[in-house]
Amino acid sequence: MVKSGINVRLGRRAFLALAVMLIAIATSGTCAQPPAGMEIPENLPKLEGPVAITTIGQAPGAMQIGLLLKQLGVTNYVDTEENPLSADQLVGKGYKVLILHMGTSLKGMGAAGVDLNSEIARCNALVAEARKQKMFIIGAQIEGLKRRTDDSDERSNKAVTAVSDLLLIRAEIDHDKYFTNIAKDKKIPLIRTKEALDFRYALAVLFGKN
Amino acid sequence: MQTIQTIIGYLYYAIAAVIGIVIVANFVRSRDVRKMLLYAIVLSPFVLRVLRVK
Amino acid sequence: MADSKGNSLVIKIVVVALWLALIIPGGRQLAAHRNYEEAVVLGPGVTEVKKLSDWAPYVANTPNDCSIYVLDSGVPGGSMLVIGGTHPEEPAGVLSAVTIVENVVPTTGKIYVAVRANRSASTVTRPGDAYPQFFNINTDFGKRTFRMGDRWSNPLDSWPDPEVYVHYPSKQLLAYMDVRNLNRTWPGRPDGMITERTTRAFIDMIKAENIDIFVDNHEAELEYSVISTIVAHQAAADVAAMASMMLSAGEFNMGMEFSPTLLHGLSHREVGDHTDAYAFEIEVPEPFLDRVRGITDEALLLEGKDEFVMRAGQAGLLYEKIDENGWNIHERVGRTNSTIDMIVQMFAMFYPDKPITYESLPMRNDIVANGLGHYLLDPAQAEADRVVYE
Ligand SMILES: [Zn+2]
Repeated sequence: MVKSGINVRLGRRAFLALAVMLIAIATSGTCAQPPAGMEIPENLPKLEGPVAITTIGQAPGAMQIGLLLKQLGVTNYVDTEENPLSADQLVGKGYKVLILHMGTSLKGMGAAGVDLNSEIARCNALVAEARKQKMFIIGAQIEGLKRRTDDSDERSNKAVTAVSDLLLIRAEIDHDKYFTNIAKDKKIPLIRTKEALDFRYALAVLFGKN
Repeated sequence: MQTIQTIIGYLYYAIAAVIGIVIVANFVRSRDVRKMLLYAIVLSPFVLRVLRVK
Repeated sequence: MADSKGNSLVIKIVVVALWLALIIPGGRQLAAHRNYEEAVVLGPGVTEVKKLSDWAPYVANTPNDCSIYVLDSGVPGGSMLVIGGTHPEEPAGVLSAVTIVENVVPTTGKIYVAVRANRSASTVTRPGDAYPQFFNINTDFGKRTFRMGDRWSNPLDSWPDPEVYVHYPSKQLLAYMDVRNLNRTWPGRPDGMITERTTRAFIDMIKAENIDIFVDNHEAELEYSVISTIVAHQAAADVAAMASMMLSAGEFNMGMEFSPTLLHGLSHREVGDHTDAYAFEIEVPEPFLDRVRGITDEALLLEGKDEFVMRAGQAGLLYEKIDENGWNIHERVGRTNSTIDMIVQMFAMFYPDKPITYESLPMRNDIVANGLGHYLLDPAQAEADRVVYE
């Protein structure tokens, strides 16, 4: 007897059902309650696409955010390792929002690490162009503690938080209130989520898809 | 390519065997207990390899 | 120090006797490990057992002509290849593959499993590092014994190593011993060293069977940053990213990494580049592999508790958490299986035209609750033609 995949799973793991529901809710455009542990600050900007996304440090978080935005129906472009987003790629595409993800990758696997200096130079060039075009800049970190482990990550955090108009991060990386303090100093909104998947709710609020 | 590797492989076994024989010869000639023990220990990996045990 | 001639002869006989007393039992132990027949029981879903050489004659009659277990639902759909034992010193990867063979019943599509992808590497351990030769899993019927192995193919099957290992075809220079590392020799070549031939055989098989999902099971030391993660080829990155977010939100923390484009020989790079399969590697934590570990024995291998690794964690030197509960084999195999399952689920979401469905894959919560042994079958109870020896 062949059952459909979803039916087989539902009995076994309630959480997947929950996740499927989450996807359905997020895509249908109604979502009342914020997920546990998330506070939505007041006076958030109303944002719209298209969105350009990159990671300063080449961690995969940019792509995860891109996937969630895609599910919300927000047009977005995520760069690739071979062709990282550059300032001239922002010209003439009509991007309204730039999301700079924080975190460095490729530390293991024997690969030569990311050149942080050139990544930070790229970040600054992107920001200069984005400001010229009056784009809104979100500093984001969806991957959590995994990308807050060493000095390279801290340099990525420092470069991105300095130029952001809003911070959207996992709560667990704010254990030392590093991001809270920066948001306070710069008087910018800070959204902290418990899970990576909770970014979908926050993005829905920001992009008016809730 | 594979043939060359096989030949090199056999040559290495031959080398290991020759070194093993030289160590045995040294052992037989030796009159010093400490040297005998040393030769015996050094011989072990060569024997194990030639017999394809380790 | 010179002894008299007669005296010297007596001493020589004593030394030879001592030497034989060491070398014979030691050698027999090594030979017993190398020749141990590790049972795998064919579960209700296994429809056929093939040999890797069925796709690649150039690995026939070599120690690496491993069994390929075929679980065919008979219903058209997607196909998946899971390989365990790329690194036989990472037992969770092997045991995850065994639980698939012994439990899973496919309902759509086809699943292929290799339990001992590098069989040669499972016939040698590191006595110098005090590695145990075998490990035992307690089951409902007694113990199941598996070979503990090494990271590299047995030098008896691949000797000598080159001065420098030039990876084929990229010409990248890699460490000499990695010519025996199954996760450095992809995509391999049919006339290369045994480990290169093995990866090429898998590539030929993946192409011939039009494999959609390729999963390579691994474990990692906590000192290493690529841990508790899915490493994905860029083509598979969407699936891995969703799987990572879903697992982390619902069950346990599982990150993702891109396969580096410039580092060659790794499965997630070369399988993705050289075949149409979506390539994933799963890494779960194995404290046994940490260099700061203390007593290196079967208990550490299976229970994953070590005070020195814990101390390293307290000093902030590790990339994964560890406490006095350690990282036991149930947790590690369970996480591997749940991750494979989530990859399959997310793949179905992105590519609904290639569904793979199945029943009875033991998941993390099942294995942690009931013990890994509960999901292993008794070779003594199985019919003779339903037991395969690796
Ligand atoms: Zn491994």
